Amino acid sequence: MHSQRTMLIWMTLPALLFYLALLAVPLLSIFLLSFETEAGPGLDSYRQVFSDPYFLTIFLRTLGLSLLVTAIALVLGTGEALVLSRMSPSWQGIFLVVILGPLLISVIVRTLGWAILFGGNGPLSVAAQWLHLSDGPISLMYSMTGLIAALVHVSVPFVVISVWVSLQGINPDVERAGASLGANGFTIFRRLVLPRILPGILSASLVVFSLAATAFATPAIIGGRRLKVVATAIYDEFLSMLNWPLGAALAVVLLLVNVGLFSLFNRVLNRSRRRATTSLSRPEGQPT
Amino acid sequence: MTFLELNGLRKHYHSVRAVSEVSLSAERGEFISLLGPSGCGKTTTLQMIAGFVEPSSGSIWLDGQPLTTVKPQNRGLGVVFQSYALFPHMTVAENVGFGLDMRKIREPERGRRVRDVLELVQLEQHRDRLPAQLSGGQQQRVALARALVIAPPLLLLDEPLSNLDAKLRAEMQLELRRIQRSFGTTTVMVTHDQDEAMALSDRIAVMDSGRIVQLGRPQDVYERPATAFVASFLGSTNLICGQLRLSAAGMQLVVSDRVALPCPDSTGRAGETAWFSIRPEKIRLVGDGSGETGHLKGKIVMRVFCGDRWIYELDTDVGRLVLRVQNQGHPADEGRTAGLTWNLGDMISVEGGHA
Repeated sequence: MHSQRTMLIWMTLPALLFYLALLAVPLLSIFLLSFETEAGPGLDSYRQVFSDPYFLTIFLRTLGLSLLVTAIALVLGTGEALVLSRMSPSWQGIFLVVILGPLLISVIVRTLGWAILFGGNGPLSVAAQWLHLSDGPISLMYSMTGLIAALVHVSVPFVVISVWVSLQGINPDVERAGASLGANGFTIFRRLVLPRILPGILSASLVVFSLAATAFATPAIIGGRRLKVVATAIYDEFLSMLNWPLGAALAVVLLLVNVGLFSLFNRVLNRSRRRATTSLSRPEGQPT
Repeated sequence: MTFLELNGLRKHYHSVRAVSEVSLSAERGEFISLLGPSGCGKTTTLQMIAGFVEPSSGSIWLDGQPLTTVKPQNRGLGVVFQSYALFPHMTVAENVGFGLDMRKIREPERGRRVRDVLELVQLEQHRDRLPAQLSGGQQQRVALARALVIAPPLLLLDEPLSNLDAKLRAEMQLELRRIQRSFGTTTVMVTHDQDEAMALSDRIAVMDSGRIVQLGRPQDVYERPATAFVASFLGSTNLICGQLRLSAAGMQLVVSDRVALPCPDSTGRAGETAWFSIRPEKIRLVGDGSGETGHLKGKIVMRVFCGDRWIYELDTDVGRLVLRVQNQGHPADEGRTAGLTWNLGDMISVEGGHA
């Protein structure tokens, strides 16, 4: 018994070392870096992060952007999953691939595609002018709208998958039972379906929020220098301003905010999951 | 007075005909079973009454009102699903109260009605449990309570007991009958279980290939099956086919060169092919000693003990016959040859068929 346990510990060692080397060490060095000043260790960088309204704007923009992306992706993704669950199995397969498509393309390629689409000479602008919706060329580049659209695009698949999985656990007769008891379509969704897919929606929102809050490539290309988010600001501090301690401090603050939201969310999620997963074992019937 | 009327209901999906033609009328308070094998259209018929499936043609009337185009949520019928379809995130009391909420029935009436119906199904002490914390039989009763609490004019049961084990099912049959009687709710039940149909129903509609082949009281359908299919689906039976011949002794059924069985008169004209059904419990073995030879001789190829009765399988000149005999302590041995006899009246002429 004892030797087996010892062996298990030994067996986890490679993974442990791997994490230590590739996650803990860099994190720790970033953490230490953030306290570096010209006159020995100090809180100068943090003071600057919290006092400079420039950084406050960037943090608030990142937060607002992530919240908006999460909200829009949830609505779109949940709707898509609901529609998907009503399709015949063969169409479901096709549309799942279509929905997951964005994840199969490299983030750079995908974002550059958006850049072409959004540009002043891009198809979107041309179409808008042709339809007389706009007098001159319009560009969504370096705009919040464009940034949100691009981030929503990559976030929706995560929501669809997560909600789709929780929809699979719902007995299709439940909706009919609701109808027979007098509930209309909206009430059936709100009182019978939504509570059951809520854990799926919440866990999707967690994933989407953290992806949006830490996204780099998309904000860098579509937001550019005009719409800096925390991730691009960190990049700039490190590589353009060469102020490594300030970049590190920004990274640490971003991480802490994320972890804080994460654990808060997790608590809500667990509470809702506890209720929703005490589900019925579904008897297999032979409908005639 | 007719309370529920199904008028020439049909349903086809593309080229597949699920229900070819179903017409039925039920009295107020009546318990009617739609009985048939898988794919006979019984569930589709029930779903058309519930409003989940739109009929391709035909009409449904309830208490003189047309129901055919009314949405399910406006029909106000009680439906119990085979899977129960309880709301897993709601407690027993919340499940039962759901239909009352939809009807905007407020406290204290809401609470009183939930309590009353839970008492009726004997689940009052489990009102705060979640469905997953209940046994199958309890879940079944919650489903029933949830359907009954809205005081529906019509109760629809889709294989309500098929997910329960045999002992519980027998108990629930009695329970279901008691509850249905005390509410007096007109009920249509779909089942493939003939015992369930016979135990519960005022009338049984035996369905096959999308239509009702026979409709009647359980004992009538059992004793006087109209077709070979009904005879073999409702209970087990022995089917004998032959040609009718009029002899000096009366009408005879010629099964083969060697066998001619006496059969009831007025079952058909001489020369016609006829099918007869004889229930296993109506056939008697006659011993060597009694001097009686019976209508047929047969060799016992197998006997099965069922506690209160023995089941014998005999090889005879008309084929394999099955007998069910009360256990009186002196079973006949396998391999023995015995005479078989029955009352002529127990030979039921049925419409022939594939069975």
